[in-house]
Amino acid sequence: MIRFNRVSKRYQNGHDALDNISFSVEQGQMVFLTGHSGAGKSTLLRLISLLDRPSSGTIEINGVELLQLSGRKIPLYRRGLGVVFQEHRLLFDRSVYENVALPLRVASYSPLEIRRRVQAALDRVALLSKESLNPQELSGGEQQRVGIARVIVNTPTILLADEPTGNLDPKLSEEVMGLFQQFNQFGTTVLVATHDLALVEKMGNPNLELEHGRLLV
Amino acid sequence: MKPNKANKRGASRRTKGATFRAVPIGKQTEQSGTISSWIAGVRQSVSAYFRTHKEVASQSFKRLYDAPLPTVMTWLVIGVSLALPAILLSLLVNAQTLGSGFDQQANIHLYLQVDMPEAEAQQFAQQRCEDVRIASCQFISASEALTEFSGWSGFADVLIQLDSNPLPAWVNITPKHAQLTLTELQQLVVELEQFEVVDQAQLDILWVQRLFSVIDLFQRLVWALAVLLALAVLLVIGNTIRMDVENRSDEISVVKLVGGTAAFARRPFLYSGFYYGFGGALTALVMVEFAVLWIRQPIDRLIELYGSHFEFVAPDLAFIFGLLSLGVLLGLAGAWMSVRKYSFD
Ligand SMILES: Nc1ncnc2c1ncn2[C@@H]1O[C@H](COP(=O)(O)OP(=O)(O)OP(=O)(O)O)[C@@H](O)[C@H]1O
Ligand SMILES: [Mg+2]
Repeated sequence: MIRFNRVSKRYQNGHDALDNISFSVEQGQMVFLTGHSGAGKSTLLRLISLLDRPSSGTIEINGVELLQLSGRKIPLYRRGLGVVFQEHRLLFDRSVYENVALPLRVASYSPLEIRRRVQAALDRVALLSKESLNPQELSGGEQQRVGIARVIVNTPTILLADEPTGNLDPKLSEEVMGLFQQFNQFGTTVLVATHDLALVEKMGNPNLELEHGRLLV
Repeated sequence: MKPNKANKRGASRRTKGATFRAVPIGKQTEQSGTISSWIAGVRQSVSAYFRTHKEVASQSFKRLYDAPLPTVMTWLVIGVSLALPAILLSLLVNAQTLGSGFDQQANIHLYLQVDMPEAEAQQFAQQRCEDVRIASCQFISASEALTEFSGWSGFADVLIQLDSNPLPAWVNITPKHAQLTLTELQQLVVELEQFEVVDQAQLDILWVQRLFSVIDLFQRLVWALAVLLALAVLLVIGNTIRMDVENRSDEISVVKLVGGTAAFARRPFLYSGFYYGFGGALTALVMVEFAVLWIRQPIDRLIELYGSHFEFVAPDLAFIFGLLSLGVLLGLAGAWMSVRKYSFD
């Protein structure tokens, strides 16, 4: 469950990226986050993944108040999250397989379990045959899907995606959304930021709309 | 590349491979609260700990191996910086085993306090001979000293006019040179001088005495140099790792985001530091071995010319172990300096 209570974020240059936002997303819901460029979508997701802190207000995730999370507990909290970036942020110094395995290595999974999970995740995004390639050898859409595999490999309780379909053609976009939907059906809370209003309409999920850092109801 | 085929293959598998369950991570490893399951849990996390270390160790090594030129350059820089003081130190160690017997045998002259009663002085001289390092001691009383002095100085007339003898009694000590190294000889001189009744202890051959001062000075210089160069190694490793950290900031931020701890993100860099230090120290060892081989002969010959005996010792196990540990220590410290400042949280 995600609950924002009167959250504001002012960047150091004085820009108000988020202004007094309150909403909640129940466990197991899939919700879109829309709004024009610069509306504050990425900022909102950054606050949830603790890459940034709100200037005021409180954020509660699965019953945990984020402000009260001590530094040592942050890595553990992040292991329950999956974040797909606007830019895919793959590591080009290692194979597709190793990119996907990273969240499991970080959490000290056994080699057997890592192999099982990575292959299952790559299978999900239809990239199993490319596991030993370098991500640089993949197309933009394939790279995006590796990023998605890296997220689902860890079976997060909350999945955050920032423009996951930005680089994809309409057909692939739908496929990726279908993946999220499938994943959501197993109980994962999904929050997807996107420009693609047509896709949002087609999917029929609830939609949080931001405008200049405010939530439109 | 046949992406279509690959996609199809993946798609067909996708339908049956529904392995994902949305289970919170914490629950997957949860076990019933019995002691045996607790022990199993501890064992599992210990083995996971060693496994990750092994993985990171080999990855860090591979990273250095894949960029051989910069790695070897770094090793060489560290090697030279460690080898220079190490070679000088091993020369010093060898100087300490140098035999004290030369073609001109150095005796120790112990000048006693002027007001000392003769009987007491004589007794003191005899007692010195009980020392196993001393071959013989000859007592020369104050009056004997005066006679001797007036005999060869040409001041006999002047000296006779004095009411009291200005010269002290002294003991001429011949050390057992065959059994003493130069350092031990020096030690003996220092010990003898510490007796209260002894005013001054002196070697009768000036150049041997000078040699002691030179070795002493050399020792201090070498240590100062060693400290400076160790500092240089620390900075070289620190700077190399710092650039490495900056180049890999992407990786660090991804590791952070997928829930890696700061320790996890730092670990590869600490291992790099370890390898730089260890490899540098190994390089230094090779350099030292070559240097020793090269200077050994001329030194042997030089010492022989002075009629002394000398066994040039090559670096021993303790030396090798010490140098390697120093390298590793500097490597880890340098790496730690660089990762400490960087935010990994
Ligand atoms: N680090 C930053 N420092 C200062 N201002 C920032 C920073 N990051 C974002 N902003 C500003 O905050 C506002 C919201 O940015 P954000 O990235 O959240 O928008 P967005 O909705 O994700 O836009 P887009 O759809 O283009 O990705 C923007 O006006 C942006 O200029
Ligand atoms: Mg954005």
